Amino acid sequence: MIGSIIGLLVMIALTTFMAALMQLSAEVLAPKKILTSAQKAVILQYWRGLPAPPPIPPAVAEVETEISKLLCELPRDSSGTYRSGC
Amino acid sequence: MKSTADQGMTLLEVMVSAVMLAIFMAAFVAIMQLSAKLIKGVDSGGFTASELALARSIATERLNGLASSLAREEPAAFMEIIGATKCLTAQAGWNLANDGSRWSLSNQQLSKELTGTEQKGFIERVCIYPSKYAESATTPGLYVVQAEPKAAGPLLQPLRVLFCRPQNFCLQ
Repeated sequence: MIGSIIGLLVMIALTTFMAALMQLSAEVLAPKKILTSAQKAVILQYWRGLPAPPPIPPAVAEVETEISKLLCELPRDSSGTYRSGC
Repeated sequence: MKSTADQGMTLLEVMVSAVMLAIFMAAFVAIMQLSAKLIKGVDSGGFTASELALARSIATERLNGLASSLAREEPAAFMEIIGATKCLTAQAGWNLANDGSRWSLSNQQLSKELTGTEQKGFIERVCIYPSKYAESATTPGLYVVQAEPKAAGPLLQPLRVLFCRPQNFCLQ
């Protein structure tokens, strides 16, 4: 009985440890898919700087989508390989 | 007389537990390998995790400074950079006229007004990429300035700064 309880506690401890490590790895490895708050601030800065219509200024969301797409497609290193359509 | 509880596990239970143990151990080994890479600096250009964090921190701060200088550059001078030398390399630096700064790559680290030996970085080149929103005489433009490593990997990613220019058109 005591053996089973200890076994269970060890399993819970190990699983918690593994989950923490997995979260750490995910933080390190996960590419930033969404714009950071600093990038969003720059987009807002740009959008507010546009003149009053005409021309009709693009919506912030549209600019954010375009920039997200651009950031995704940019090369990752100096080999200069673009990732079209990512 | 023996009770049924002492008969042990069934074959199915043994197989399931073996599979679960194998999955657990595989995940454990994979995570340990990743941790070892972070500590030893494999796949991150020879940097340990702390060295890489420091190099990234220095490069990010300087890349922000470069973007800020580029945002203040006169349109004609900026177009010259965009057109002729889109990328800053160890061989070709950038001279910015607005604040008289000279940006270059030294020891694979971005430098402004190099005064001594630089802390080792991982930057192979720094490039400007225009977005669909190009600047004109009446509207601002959006650009990305990116510091790129020689070979990107899970632990060695490029640094990016999005900036709006010319600065007088971009409201703070």
